Amino acid sequence: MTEPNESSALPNDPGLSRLYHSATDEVPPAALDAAILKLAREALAAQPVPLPWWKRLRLPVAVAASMLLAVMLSLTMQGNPSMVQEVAPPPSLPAAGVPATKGATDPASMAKEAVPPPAVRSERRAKAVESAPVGDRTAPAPISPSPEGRLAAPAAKAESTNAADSAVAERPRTMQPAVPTMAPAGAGAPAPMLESAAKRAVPRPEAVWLDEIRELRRQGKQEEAARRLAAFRTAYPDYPLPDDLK
Amino acid sequence: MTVDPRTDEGLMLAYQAGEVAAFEALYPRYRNRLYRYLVHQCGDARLAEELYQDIWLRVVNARADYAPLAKFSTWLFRIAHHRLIDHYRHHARDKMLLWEDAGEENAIENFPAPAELTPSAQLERLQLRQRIGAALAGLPEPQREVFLLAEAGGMSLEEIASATGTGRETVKSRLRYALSKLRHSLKDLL
Repeated sequence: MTEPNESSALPNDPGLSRLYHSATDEVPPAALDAAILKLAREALAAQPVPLPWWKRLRLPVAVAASMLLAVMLSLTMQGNPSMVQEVAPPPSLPAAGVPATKGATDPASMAKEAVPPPAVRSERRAKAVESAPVGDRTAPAPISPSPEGRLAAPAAKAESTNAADSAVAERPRTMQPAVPTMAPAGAGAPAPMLESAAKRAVPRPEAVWLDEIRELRRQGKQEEAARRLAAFRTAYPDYPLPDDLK
Repeated sequence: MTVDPRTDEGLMLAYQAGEVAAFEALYPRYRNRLYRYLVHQCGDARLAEELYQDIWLRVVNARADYAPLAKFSTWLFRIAHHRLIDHYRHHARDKMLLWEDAGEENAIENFPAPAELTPSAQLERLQLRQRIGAALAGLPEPQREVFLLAEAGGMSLEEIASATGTGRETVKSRLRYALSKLRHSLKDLL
C-alpha cells in the first residue's frame, strides 16, 4: 500500500490493483465487436468524409477576409489621400492675394485638388517651370489655379460661381478631372502647340476653368477669355455654361 | 496480423480521412478498457453493452469534428463519461432498480468467464468478481469512476481530470477515498 506524495502522481495501491485486474477479464461479445466494426465501415461508405467546419469554410473565410482587407484599404486611402496622391504646389496667380499657407493645410481642398497618377507626372513637369516668374498671362495654355486662389476670391465671385461649384460638387470626387500641365510662363511657345498640349493633357476641373474665364473678363481681357471659353467648350462640350458666361 | 505503428490520434485522423483499416486497428486498443470501465461503472453487463455500442457510434459519428487536441483515450473516455451522465439523468430510476435488483444470480450471469476454467475455479472467480463488484458498487459514483478510469482505463491524473471535467486535486481526493474504502471492503482478500 503506497500513496506517492508527488503531486502529479495518482494515488495507487498495487495490491488492490492486482486484485482488481486478476478478477476482471470481461470482454465485449464478439457480436458486439462485429456490429461496431460494421457500423464504422458503413458510416464511411454511406457518406463521403465530411470535412471539419474549418476546412469547409476555408474558401469563404479567405474570400471574406480578402474583401474586408480591400474595403479597409480603400477606405483608409479615401480618408487620407496624401498617402497615395501628390498635391499640386500652389502656383501664383495674379488674382490670388492671400498667402499660400491656408489651402496647404486644408485637407478638404487638398482632397479636391488631388490628382491621379498620370496627372501627377505632368504636375512634376509643371513644377519645374513654376519657379520661373509669371510673365505673359496671355499664353493660351490653361493655368491651374491653386486652392488658395479660389479661397481668396471675393465673396461676390464666390456667389457667382456657386452654381458651377455645386455642379462640380455633385460629381463624384474621383471623376473630377486632374490639373493639366502648366505652360511655362513667358516661354513664348507657339499657340497651336500649347493648345494641342492642353488637349492632350488631362482635363481640369470645370469650376476652376470657369473662374479663370470670369477673372479674365473682369480684367478686361475679352479675347483671352473667349479663347479660354472656346477651349473649355472643346474640353467639356456637354457642360451647361453658367448664365454669366453664355 | 501486424500491429499498426501509428498512434491512436494518427489512426483516428486516418479514419476521419476515410481509411476503414485505421478504425479496425484503433478499436482493439480500447475494446477491453472501455468495456470493463462501463461494466463496473454501471454494474450491468447488458446496459454496459448498450452504452458501449452507443459510445463507439458517437465516436464514428464525431469523426469529422475530431481534432487531436488531447489524447484519443481522453477524448474517448470523455464521451463515455458524458454518455453515462446522460444515462443517469434519463434513467436514474431504472439505474437504481438495476442496482437494487442486481441479485447474486443476475450478477454472476452477467459477468462472462473464460471457458478454460474448471467449474470450481469459475465459481471462485465469480465469487471474487462478485466481491469486487459489490465493493465498487458501494463507492459513490464519482469515486468509482475515478478508480475505474485509473485501473480499467489506464489513464493518468491529468487525463482523468480532463475526461471528467474536474480538477486534478479533486481527482486525487476522490481516488484516495475510493482506495481507502476498497481496502476496507476487500481487506480479507489483500
